[in-house]
Order: sequence, then structure tokens, then C-alpha cells
Amino acid sequence: MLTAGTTRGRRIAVIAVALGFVVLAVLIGVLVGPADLSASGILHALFGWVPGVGDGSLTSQESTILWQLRAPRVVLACIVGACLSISGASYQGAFRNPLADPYLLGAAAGAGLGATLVIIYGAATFTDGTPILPIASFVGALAGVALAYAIGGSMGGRTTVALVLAGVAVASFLTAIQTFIQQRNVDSLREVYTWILGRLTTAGWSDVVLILPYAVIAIVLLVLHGRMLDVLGVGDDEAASLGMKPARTRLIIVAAASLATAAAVAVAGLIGFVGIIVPHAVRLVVGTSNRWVVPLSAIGGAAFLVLADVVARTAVSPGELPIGVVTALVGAPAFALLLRRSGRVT
Amino acid sequence: MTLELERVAVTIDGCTIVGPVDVIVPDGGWLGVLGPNGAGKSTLLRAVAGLVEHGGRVLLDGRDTATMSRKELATRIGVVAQKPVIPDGITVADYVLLGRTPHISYFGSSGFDDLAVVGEVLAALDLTGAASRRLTTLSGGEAQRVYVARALAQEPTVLLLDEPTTSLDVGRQQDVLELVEHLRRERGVTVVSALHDLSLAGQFAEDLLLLHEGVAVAVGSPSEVLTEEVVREFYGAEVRMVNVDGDDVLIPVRRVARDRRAAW
Repeated sequence: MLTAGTTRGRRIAVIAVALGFVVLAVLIGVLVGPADLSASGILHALFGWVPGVGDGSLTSQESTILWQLRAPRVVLACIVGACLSISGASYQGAFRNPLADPYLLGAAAGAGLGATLVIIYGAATFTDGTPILPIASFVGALAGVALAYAIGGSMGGRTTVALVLAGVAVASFLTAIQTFIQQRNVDSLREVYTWILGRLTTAGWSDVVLILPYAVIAIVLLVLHGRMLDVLGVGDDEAASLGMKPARTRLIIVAAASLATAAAVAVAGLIGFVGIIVPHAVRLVVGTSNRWVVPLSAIGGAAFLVLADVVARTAVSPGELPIGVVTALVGAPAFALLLRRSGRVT
Repeated sequence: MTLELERVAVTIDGCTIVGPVDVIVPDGGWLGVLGPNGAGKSTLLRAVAGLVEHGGRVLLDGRDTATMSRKELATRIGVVAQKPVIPDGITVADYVLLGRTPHISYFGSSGFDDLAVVGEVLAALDLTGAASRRLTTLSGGEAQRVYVARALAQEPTVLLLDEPTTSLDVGRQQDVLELVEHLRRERGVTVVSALHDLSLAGQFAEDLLLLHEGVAVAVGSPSEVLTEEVVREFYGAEVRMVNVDGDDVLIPVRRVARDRRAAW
């Protein structure tokens, strides 16, 4: 079993490298921005407790920019990127479908409808000042998936095909309602559209605090289910003969993945492509075992979205590109290159 | 482990697909399940493995499998599917490791014991050299050994094989059946296999069960079940029984040619 041992060693090395990559991405994320903060000042603010790091200092205004604008945004990008990637990896495993993404079962359409309803008819905040839009998106995403699961379960014994088809039906239906409402209220079109393209603008740490608990629960659950996803890979029948309950396990995985998606969508809108490109890129590096693909997707997704956000903030500075545009513009060609390379290997 | 089927029947939408079947496979025995296409061989095996709802009882050493959890059942019965689903890019070692699933707790991960079992099974089936290869790059005969290896990694006492020789050339068919015979003798596993080839079934299985449209029409030793009359009646085939080196071998003969000669 020498081969298994060396593969394990290599994969652990890959995890270490990936974590280093996240740290690097985060550093770039806080160092780069439209406001001209000195690098040494930022490094001093971050690592002043380490002797010899950075001798500059920030004014109190610069300090506010660092701690209340850049830092929470970078952290939010980490969480959203990790959530979308791990959710995509899990959906792809649970449905044995490489094209599955976090929005497969109606999460996007549900969230879109929830957000549109609030933007057009709702108040901006509850009476205590809590913003309603994230909560409506969150609830909408989960409701969309629940509806798809209920319909899919009633029509075909919870097979993957029945579920995916139910997801398609639910997504079309909810999108139709959303489009209808949107067309009746064209004055809000721009705001709805901006939400759909995805964005990571934040006001301090509140968004991070809002989604962190859900993100942590979902990510931990999914990482723990990596081995189960591998067993599901042989099909429900064989998985059952190996002592597993495929329908129940898939329900738990889909619930956790949907929770991660809903958390991401609640604060960032619909950012596409992350949930597909990152897991596939990870598979090209470490192989297809979900025990490694699932955790590494979370790590890779965090780094990827932080860097995509840096591009979104700086490419047309002082303006901003929608991050969904960046993930697709950067992601699609990178993905095509990866596929070409892997095509030559296998 | 003695495997006993007591009036086992599978009914789907009010239509009985198989059964009721009564048969006892002694500890370490080999029951070959025969029947034309669509006779219900696979369904019967699925019922024994608890993968499809069924009437009647399946008993392992007298204990009803309905009282066992999915997981416990999977440590006793290993199944080799007719057309296994191969996960993309999986290596032979990782595939065989999946057989350890019933021995690992829900959130647990495979430990040294599991890897040791996988290593032992790979060695026993002469697959050690292929451990890190992708399963999809193996030949048909090698792949079939890997499927058997995964089932053996479950450390079962009963092995169910659904047409293990389909799509193999005649040499590899003999290899696979010799392997099963070897495992049966070395490890004492009880074997139930659906088999397509009547001659091979007669040479390897100790007992045969012939299904026709879901009904068990003949049970017994190969010489009792495999007669020219039975094959003509239930397979609609014209065969001759020839004794070769003490084994009964079935040889198909041409019906059309014979009729034509008679007419001329």
C-alpha cells in the first residue's frame, strides 16, 4: 500500500500549499485598493506584534479603511468563495454530475425571487435596523431547494434524475414569477440586476457575522461527508449494498450544500462559475476522491474569490466591476486551459 | 454461513416478478441461478441482498436478515453487480477500499486495519501491481477481479455474483469462476451466482436453481437440472448432453439445418 501512502503525503502537501495560497490572496486583498494605503503601514497594523515587520503606521482614517472596509470584504470573499466551491463540489458528487453547480436545485431562482420581492415591495430593514434583503435571499434559496426536493421525491423515489428535473422545473417557475414582477416594476430593474450579477460590497462586519455560523456548520458537515460522497459515486444500488442509506445521505449532503449556497447568496447575490471551476481545478491536481476534493474546494474557492474581488475592485478603478463578471471572464478561459491540459494527460 | 430462502418473492405494482422461491445453500456451498433473459435472476439476487423489498424470509444461519441493519447486512453479504458503476478517475486501491464502508463509522475514515485488508485482498487476487492504476484502464478480466476484490474487502460470508462472466472471453470466464471456486474453498464463503453459460454453471456450481418467468421450475444438482428436455422447454434451445472427462457439457445443435435435411 505504498502508493496510497505516498498519494496521501502528496495531498497533505497540496493542502498546505493551498492554505499558503489563501494567506497570500488575503494579503493581496488587504494591500490593494482604490485608497492609497502604504503597504508597510498595513503590514504593521496586521503583524505589528511580530518583531521587525513593517515600520509604517496608519492614520485613524486609514485604519478605518483597513479594518472596516477592506478586511471585512476580504473575509467575506473567503467565506462566500469557500461556500460556493464546497457546495458545487458536493452537488457534483451527490448527483454524479460534473455539470452540477450550487444553483442546480433552484437555489438561485428562489433567492432571486426573494430578493426581487424585497427590493420592489419590501422595506429595506426591519424595525430594529436589520437589513431584510439578505434574509429574503437566504430563505428564498432554501425554499427553492426544499420545493425541488419535495416534488422530486414525490415523482420518482428520490432518484438523482427525478431531483434534477424537479430542480429545473422549480427554477423555471420561480424565475418566471421573478421576471414577471421585475417587468411590472422597471424602475427597480437596475437594483435587481445588480443583485443578480453578484457583489461583495459590505458595510463593516455585519454580513460576515450574519452568515458565518451557517457557513461553518455547512462546511464542517460537508467535509465530514467526503467519504460518503465517494461511496455514492458507485450509484445508489451499490452504495446500499455497501451498507449505506443513499437517499438519506444525499438529503443531508444536499441540505448542507444548500445551506452553504444560501449563506453565500444572501450577502453576495448570484456569483456564477466559482462552484464549477474550482472543484474541477482541484480534481485535476489531487484526483477525484471527495475526501480531498471537498475540503480543498473550500480552500481554493476562498483564495479564488478574494483574487477575483481584487480584480473587480481595481480593473476599472475607481469604479467596480460586478464580481460575477470577473469570475466568468477570468474563470472561463482558465477553466478551458485546465481542460485542455487534462485532456492531454488522460 | 448457511443461506436459506423461505418463500422469497418480489412483487412490484401488484405483479409478481420472482418467486416464491425456497432453497437452502449450505455453508460454503455454491448455488448457480439459471434462467433465460428476464427470468428474474438479478431480482432474486437483489432480494437476497436486501436491495429490493420482498416477501418471505432470507435467513443467514437461521437469523432473518430483515432484523439486521443495512450496515450489518453489508458485513455479511458482498454483492458484485452485473454492470458496476465506476466513479470517474478512481484507482483500483480506492475502489477496493470502498468495500470497507460497512466497517467504518459514519463520520469515520479508513484506518490501517482497512488498508491492511485491502492490501491482503489485492494480493490474494493478484492485483497488487495494479493498485494505483485507474480502474477504467484495466482489461475486462482484470476489472472483474477488482469488482470481486471490493466485495471481498467487505469480509462477507456470502458472496452474490450477478453474471460475473458476461462480456468476458471464454478464457477469462474460466479464470473468474476458478477464482470464485478458490475463494469458496480458501475462505469458506457461500456463493450464489446468476450464470448465463449453462455448461460452465454445470461444471462449477454445486447446486442449480432454474428460474422461468420468475418461477423456480427446477432445483437440484447439475445433473438433475441440466437435461436436454429442461433446456428445450425453458430456453427453447436444442442441445445435446455430452460427457467430457466426467463433466456433463451442453452443446447447442442447429435446429434449422436438421429440419431442412429432414424435408429434403
